[in-house]
Amino acid sequence: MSGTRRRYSKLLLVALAALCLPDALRLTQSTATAGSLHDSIRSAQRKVVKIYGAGGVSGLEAYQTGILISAEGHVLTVQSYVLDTDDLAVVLDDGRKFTAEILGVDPVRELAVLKLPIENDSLPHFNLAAAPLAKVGERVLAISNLFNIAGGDEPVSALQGVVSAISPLDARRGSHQAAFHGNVYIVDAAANNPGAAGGALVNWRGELLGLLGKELRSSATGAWLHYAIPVDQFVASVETMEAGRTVADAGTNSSTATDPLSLAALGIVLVPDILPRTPPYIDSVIADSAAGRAGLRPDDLLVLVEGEPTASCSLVVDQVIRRESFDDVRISVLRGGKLVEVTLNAEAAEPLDETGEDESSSLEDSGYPAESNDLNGDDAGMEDLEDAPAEADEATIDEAVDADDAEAEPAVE
Amino acid sequence: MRFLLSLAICLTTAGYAAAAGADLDELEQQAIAAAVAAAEKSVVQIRTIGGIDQLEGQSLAQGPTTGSIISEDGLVVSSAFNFAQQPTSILVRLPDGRQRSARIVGRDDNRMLVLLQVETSDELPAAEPAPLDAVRPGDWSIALGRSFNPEEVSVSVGVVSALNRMHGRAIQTDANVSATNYGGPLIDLEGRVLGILVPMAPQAPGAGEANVTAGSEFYDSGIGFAVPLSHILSVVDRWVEEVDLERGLLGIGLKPGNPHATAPIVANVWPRSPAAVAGWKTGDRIVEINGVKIETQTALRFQTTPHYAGDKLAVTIRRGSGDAAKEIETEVTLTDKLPSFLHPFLGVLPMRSAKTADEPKDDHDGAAKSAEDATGEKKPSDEKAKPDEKFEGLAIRAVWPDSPADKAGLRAGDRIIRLGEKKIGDLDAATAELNAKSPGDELKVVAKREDEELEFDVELAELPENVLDAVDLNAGDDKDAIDLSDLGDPKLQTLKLPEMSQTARYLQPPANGPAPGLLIWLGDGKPETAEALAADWQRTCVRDRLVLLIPEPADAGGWTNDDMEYLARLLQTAGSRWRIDPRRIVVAGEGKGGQLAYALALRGRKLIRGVAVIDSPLPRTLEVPENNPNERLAVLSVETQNTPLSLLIRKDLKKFDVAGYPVTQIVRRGEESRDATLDGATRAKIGRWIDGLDRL
Repeated sequence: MSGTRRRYSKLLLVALAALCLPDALRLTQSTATAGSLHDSIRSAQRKVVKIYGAGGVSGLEAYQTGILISAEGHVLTVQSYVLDTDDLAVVLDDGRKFTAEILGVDPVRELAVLKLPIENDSLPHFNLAAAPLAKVGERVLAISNLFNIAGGDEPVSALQGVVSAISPLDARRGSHQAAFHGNVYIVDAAANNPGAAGGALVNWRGELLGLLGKELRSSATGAWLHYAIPVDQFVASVETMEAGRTVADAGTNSSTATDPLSLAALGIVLVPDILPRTPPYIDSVIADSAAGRAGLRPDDLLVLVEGEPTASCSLVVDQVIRRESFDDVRISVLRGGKLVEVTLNAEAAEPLDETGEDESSSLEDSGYPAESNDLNGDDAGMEDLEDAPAEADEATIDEAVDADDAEAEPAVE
Repeated sequence: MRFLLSLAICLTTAGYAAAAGADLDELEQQAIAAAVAAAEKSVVQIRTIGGIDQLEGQSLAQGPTTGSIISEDGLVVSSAFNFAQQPTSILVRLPDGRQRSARIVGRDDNRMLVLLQVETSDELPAAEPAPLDAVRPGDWSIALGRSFNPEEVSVSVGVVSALNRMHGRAIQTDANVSATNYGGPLIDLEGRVLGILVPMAPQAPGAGEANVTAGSEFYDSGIGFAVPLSHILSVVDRWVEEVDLERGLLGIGLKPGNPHATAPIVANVWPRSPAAVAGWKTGDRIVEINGVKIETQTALRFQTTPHYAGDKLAVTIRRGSGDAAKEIETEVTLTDKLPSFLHPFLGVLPMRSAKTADEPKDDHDGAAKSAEDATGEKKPSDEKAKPDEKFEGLAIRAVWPDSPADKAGLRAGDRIIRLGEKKIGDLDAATAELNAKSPGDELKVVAKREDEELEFDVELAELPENVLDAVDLNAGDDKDAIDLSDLGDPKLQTLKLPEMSQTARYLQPPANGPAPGLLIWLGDGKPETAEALAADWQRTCVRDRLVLLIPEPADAGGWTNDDMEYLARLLQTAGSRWRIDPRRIVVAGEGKGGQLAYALALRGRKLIRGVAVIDSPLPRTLEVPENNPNERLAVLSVETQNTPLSLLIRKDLKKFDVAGYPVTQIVRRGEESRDATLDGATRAKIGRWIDGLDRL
């Protein structure tokens, strides 16, 4: 679907609004203990820089945003093609322009630290060490040079919204899965548009919460995401980059078992995994196995492993191999519209106690075997109905034609 | 004194405001957090298993989605968008982390919702509905979802943008609404549920199936919709009982015009629709629905769109104009599906062209002549400048036995000059007039017999499904016009389309005469089969004036879907090359050829008037569309007795019948099907069926 790529709507330029506040209001607010929203925005804008570099062709913007993280001109931004140039221009809020050099990059988070040629200055900057954590529902501001609207000698744009969710990033750009899978702040402002990446997400006091990321689509819904990487996710990485080093790929942090459990060890055979999301139906159960003893049966749909949803065969395997071979593993199956939970242990010779929460979970429920058999019977019947005509359809036409041909030939002779 | 007091109050207020102003942001923040905390207990995460990956070429989201608990016994409402993949199994994760299986109770096709029943033995926390009368645009509204993180709802904050959007079905908000929170609640600042978030787009009144993804392209745009929970709760009992709630249809077309400024005047009433049952007629103006005055088409839609099929509306219509105008109170019961359109049948076969009868004697050597005709040159003789320019009405070639026309006393040779109020000059005018009628309608037919004008009252019937006997058609063998005894060997010629690898072979009738019909036979592509077909069909082609066109598949192995493009072009070319009679274009085939014939006929309904298949079931991938007044299509199925496909074929024919098409069945005895073509009797029947396709 090639719909609108960028969302201009809901683009609230709060900065302008704040600048236009009547003087009277500003007077009353100046007496307040906390600074006004305007002060927060202005203070954050001073710590945000515009970056101009490579690009400008085939829809690739030649600009992005960065934030000052030291008084000596360290700039944190996203790693992108924009940085692929010897003439990387960084424009400060006060209008000064510098050519920056890249100190280090973090390929997983796709971040880079730049250094401006400044010594012993006292630039306004965000203090990463003192960054607070945000909560879902908290009001935030996204400060960036999105769409290069602030291309002149003017402060960058501010958008307001709330933190919608704090969630692991599961996103892609085109067919490429984003490398970073840590928690991000999802925001309900249209924060991540072209040029915004590297901008600041701040709270209403102007304190840094996170760094606006590149434009990505959610893997789950395909929708464009608006998000920022929280400070605590990159603060250590920034120290490495500031030291002029490239951050090593930490590798996946998903827990892997030393002696992984397998479905076969539990006695479960799933249906052949032929579709992108083959529903994880149990094809057969090995009689003398943990699954067999626990009463799992063919046609059960294996929907949860240790409470984690497993909507496909591959997800079941993913979940199972995370467990050690000696672990108890809690499995839920759907059978006749009821959720049935069992706990299996591949190495235990005796059946484990049922751990089901409600009455429907009990496998000792005498109704089950009979009911299941009935269901199987019905299923088989339905298959017959559905398949038979299709087969007849194909086969008998061929036969009919063949028969015709066969009979036709003597007639021609 | 008073001034001082006012000043004091002013100052106090100002001082208070200053103090509070500083905390206002904080207070709002707290209020939002409190509202979310109050509402999140009834927001569930839904996971689906199985189903399709794509809908109309669009990839469907496969991640977790959101639902809202609306009753303590486990009814959950969600957006139909979340179930577009038609999942086989559904899991609902309750806010406390417990997983439950769920099943779909029903759908609401008018508001794009799905109702689920969660298996539960204990009471679940149901959402509290917000009283809608107090809600105003500008009020805070918060959209909640549970797709990102099962432990914590996602939050988007905005305001109520408008009420009664989408013709009175939805609240509009500027909070971010997308697949991340479809099915979740839109709540007010007290944590009460205003509505359930759904994608929604205005639906054209005549649109077919409700599209569950329509409106999703507006995601996160500041335009989001929520169906009021108070509405859902008001219909939930009925929903559980009726399973699916459908859009309610009236069955009328409106006079065209700007919908916001044009009065709703009935342009046509669909036969047997709720409006027809209520007695509405063309020209009626709708003036009031359920006590609400209706000024425009838009106002009408605001009154009808929120209703479901089965709802009763009290509608006042005004009929007539000026002093003669009278207001009529009617009651209509909306329906979910309008009955299929059935073409009416008068029972006459029109004369094909006035001049034919005089000329065909010259055409004994038609085959030889037609060979040169194949160069595509036109003969000057059959030009459109008819000798009889003066108005003569529509001449009747034959009257269908036992038809309304027969019963009323019309005869071959009569000329119809008037149908109802309409003057009839030719076949097109008569067809157009009849297309607007239905079986059962009464019609006054005025015809000329010799110089006498006669009036006939007929009650129109349904199109016949029998094939006429030869004797009923005046163009039978007994007519001496053409000598069919000595036709010689059929001369097959070849036709090749530019840029197409396939060739087609054809047999054409003698050049001079009325526009011929076209029979496209989808055979096995072998030359010997084509020869045999030509030999069999030669008499019929000459007598009934029929071009027999036998295309061959591109692949020697047989017909594939790739041949469709070729056949569509071939059809176009043939139409102009022979100036085919548009009422007698038939595509036919046996077995797989018949299946392709079905595919071609359903795709080319604008051109093809008949499909004849021999022992062919409908291909699995084809759906039978509703019959359409302006695209007549007749179905003929020849079935070998005791064929194993019989059951399947009859099921398919039933589908055509239900959709409103005239379906003719011929059963041939098994032992007759001994060659690749057809036995003579069956072939003759097909010929007469084709010859009768221009019946009215």
